[in-house]
Amino acid sequence: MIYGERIRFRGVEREDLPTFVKWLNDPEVRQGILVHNPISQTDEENWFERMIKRPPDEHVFGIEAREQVEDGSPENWRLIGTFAFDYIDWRNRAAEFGIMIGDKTYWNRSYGTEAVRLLAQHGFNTLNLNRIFLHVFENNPRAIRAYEKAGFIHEGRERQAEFKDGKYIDVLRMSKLKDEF
Amino acid sequence: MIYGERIRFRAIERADLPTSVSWINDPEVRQGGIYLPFSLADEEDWFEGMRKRPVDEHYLAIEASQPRERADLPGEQAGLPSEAGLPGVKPGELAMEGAEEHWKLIGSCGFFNLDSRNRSSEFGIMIGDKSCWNQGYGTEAVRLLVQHGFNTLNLNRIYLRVLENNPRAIRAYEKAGFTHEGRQRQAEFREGKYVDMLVMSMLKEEF
Repeated sequence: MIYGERIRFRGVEREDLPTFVKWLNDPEVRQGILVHNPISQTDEENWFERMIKRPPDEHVFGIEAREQVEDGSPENWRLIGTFAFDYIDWRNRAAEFGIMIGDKTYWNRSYGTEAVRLLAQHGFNTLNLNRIFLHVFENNPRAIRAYEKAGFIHEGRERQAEFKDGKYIDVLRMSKLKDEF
Repeated sequence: MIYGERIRFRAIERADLPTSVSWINDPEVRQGGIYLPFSLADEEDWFEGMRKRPVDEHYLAIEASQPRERADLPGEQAGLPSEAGLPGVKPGELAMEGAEEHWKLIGSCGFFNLDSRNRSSEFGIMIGDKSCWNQGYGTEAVRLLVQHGFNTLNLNRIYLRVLENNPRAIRAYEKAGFTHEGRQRQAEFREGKYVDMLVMSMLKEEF
């Protein structure tokens, strides 16, 4: 486990897959992610089998939030999203990441920002990366705001890079360097 | 073949691979690209892999037309070119004969990361023959590749990445009409330090 203030990262289990399928088929969640087809449980199981064969540092982690509990009762954690570093370039010590807060009841409460901060900490302090970057659709202000709050810097606008809902939209690229962390 | 003014694109053949290897291992040429010594076996592996990729992502050989020496013309005496031509030969036919001799392999280029749904593709290009540097061949090749991408492959967006310390290439892309759209900070480690990678693109409506 990797612990933040209100959240933690844990490995993904097969039992999580139905939750992911529900999120990935939610039109509001899909607005911000690179999924444009309906996703089946079988698709997700296939994805999982491929994912666990990838290098451990590129595995997908579950993001869990600590839930409010009565004094004295055991801690309760709720799965609210996922993140992963994709294709870590070890020679250049650079990695892209993807993140999804799939549980909409956790939107607009800075959980995304906290998760981005925690994954940047993991990337710089544990994986020894020098550069962490991401792509985000220009029409996803909630995500852009979270990355800005987590200290990511705009470094490019890939014009008309994605076709979505009948038109081409720009894809923004943001990054954070180790010396900015 | 895809013809430009001074250049043409043809498919890459196995016979081209030794030439490519000599270019890729030239320190001046490799500055922009591969950082490891590269063997002919590596290049053959690359070739086999490339051939298995979708045809639109096959790499193309760039050839430059060479001024033809008069003495090379078959059946012709040194001196004035024969206006009348040879008996039984129609005008133009001679130029077709042995045309390979008049084209010189100078580099290669091709699309990769072609995203057919988003109609977007990245490309790479190398002018490996250094005697052809600084003569506008790179710019002409980029223009011809872009024309192929927009007019034949029906792309909407063509983009490239180039190291910030490669001004010759950046200038060629600018001259060919590409727009700067990003700077990937410290994206590459070269010669002991991190350098930025620039992203440039051209859209169909700008072509």
